[in-house]
Amino acid sequence: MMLREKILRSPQAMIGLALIALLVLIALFADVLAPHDPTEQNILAKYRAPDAEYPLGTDQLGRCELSRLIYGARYSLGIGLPVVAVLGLLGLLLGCLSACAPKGIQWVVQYLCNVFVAFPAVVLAAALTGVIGNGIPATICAVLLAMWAWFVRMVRGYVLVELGRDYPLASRIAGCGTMRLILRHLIPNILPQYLVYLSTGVASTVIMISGFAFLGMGFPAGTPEWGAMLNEARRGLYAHPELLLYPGGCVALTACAFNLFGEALRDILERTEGS
Amino acid sequence: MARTALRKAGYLLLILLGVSLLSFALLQLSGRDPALAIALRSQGTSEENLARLREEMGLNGTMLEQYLKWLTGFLRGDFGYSIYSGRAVAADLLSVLPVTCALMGLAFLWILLLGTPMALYAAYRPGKLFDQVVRILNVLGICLPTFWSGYLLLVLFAVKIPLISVAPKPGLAGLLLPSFALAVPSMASYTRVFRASLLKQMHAEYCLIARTRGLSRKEILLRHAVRNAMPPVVTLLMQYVGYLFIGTVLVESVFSLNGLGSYLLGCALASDAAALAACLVLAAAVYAVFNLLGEFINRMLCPWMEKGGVLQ
Repeated sequence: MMLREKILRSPQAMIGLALIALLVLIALFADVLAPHDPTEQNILAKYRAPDAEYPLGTDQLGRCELSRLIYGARYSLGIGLPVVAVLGLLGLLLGCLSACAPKGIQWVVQYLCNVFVAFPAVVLAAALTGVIGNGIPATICAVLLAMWAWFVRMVRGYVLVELGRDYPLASRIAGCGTMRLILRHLIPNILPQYLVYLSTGVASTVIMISGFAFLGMGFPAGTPEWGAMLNEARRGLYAHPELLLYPGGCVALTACAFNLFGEALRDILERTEGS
Repeated sequence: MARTALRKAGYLLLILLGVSLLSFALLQLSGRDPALAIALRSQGTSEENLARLREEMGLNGTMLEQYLKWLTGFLRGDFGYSIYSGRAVAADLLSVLPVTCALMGLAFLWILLLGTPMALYAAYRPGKLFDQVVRILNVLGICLPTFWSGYLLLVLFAVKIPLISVAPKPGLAGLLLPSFALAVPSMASYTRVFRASLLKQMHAEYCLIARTRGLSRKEILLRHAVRNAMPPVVTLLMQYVGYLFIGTVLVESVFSLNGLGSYLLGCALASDAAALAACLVLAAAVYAVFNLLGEFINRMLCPWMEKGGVLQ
């Protein structure tokens, strides 16, 4: 309750939340909002300047730039949010396990984390692209493989701090089992801090996936994904820099929305902790 | 100290073993026959040619034998044969690594040289104008996709302010812009964490005591707080080795540099399993080694801290 009020009173958090809501709405209602079909080519109208019909002009194949940007939100959020949701759940599960389980299991989980953390996502993405073929599954697998260990480590760290406090001991004395301790006491207590990590995690996942798309990994040619659009706009770098400006700006804005909210929440939590 | 060092080194070896196993397993997933791929390019696909190539490349025998053969080859510096370039992977890596290393090294310099003063001054006067500006710049900096800021710099310096040459040049001068684009997001998070860590120390009891003894805020910050604030920052810097790696690949593509990134992409699109496995192992090994290094630096900086900072 207290936390909700503090979030409502923080302008930074509210700006972040509003931007997130706006982006989600754009992604959901892309087909209503977009003035044109994002893949419809009009060779006669390539590199059109902005006008009433094409509010942001057209690209090198005469496709409506605005429509492509609007549909791009579907790819970034439609992949970024579920991926982070999976990572978040996996992190909670294995993180709690690796903090509360017997020493042997703890060691194994930590060892696996240490091994997986060492792989940079982009090398994994390249390797998986080479091995299972270029496509969205390869990039998603790469992000999951490269990131899960970070989430587990984070949760483990939070849980260890909580276990050092008095209430886990008190609930133990009151006869609370491990599962109940984790589900009813530990998870609710670490959730706010974890939300900070998840929010900034969405930002970095969105940047990462567009980065892969920019490198030509993940999406078939012509997909209206922001990173892929940037890649296609490279040819007209000096003549039409605005075609590079828009999609990159969209990626930055999306990342900004989640980072603004995450950082604001972090500040609120730290202030509460300090006082 | 010596015993901990040995134990840590042993654990590192164990991690590297896991890394190599995982890379080898990934390589096996492809289901393509590398001998056939090479035969198609060079000697022809007759049965005896294929058999000879398989023998040469160690593709006969059980999975375990293959792994051991690959691993021993790897330890001797023989990373296999690249389908993508048609040369030995080791030779390829030697020719592309200098650019990538220079790029990452310069990015580290940018991070340290620009980020450190920003963090120090922001922590010296928290809540003041400079601090607020740095805070906003940090949030924005973390959000900048490297592949986008690279182009912004390129267009800016090529069209608006033709001060720095943007054409790929040999030497470090040509790497100034790319390394800056690479450094920005990491610099932002470095500054944020360093500032927060400094402030946490400044609120600690020993700093309050030093203040009551008449030391100025500046003296406390530079003499006492900095050192104690370092461990989380060192840990973070070592983690950037992995993070900058992702950025390098993107930045190399933006600025058309011939480094590890372009090699990696070429190998990915050519399904070059041998080269990809070598890149995986190398990248992970470098990362693991730097992290261990970070732990030792932290131990030396603050021996009084128990577990070498926040690495857990």
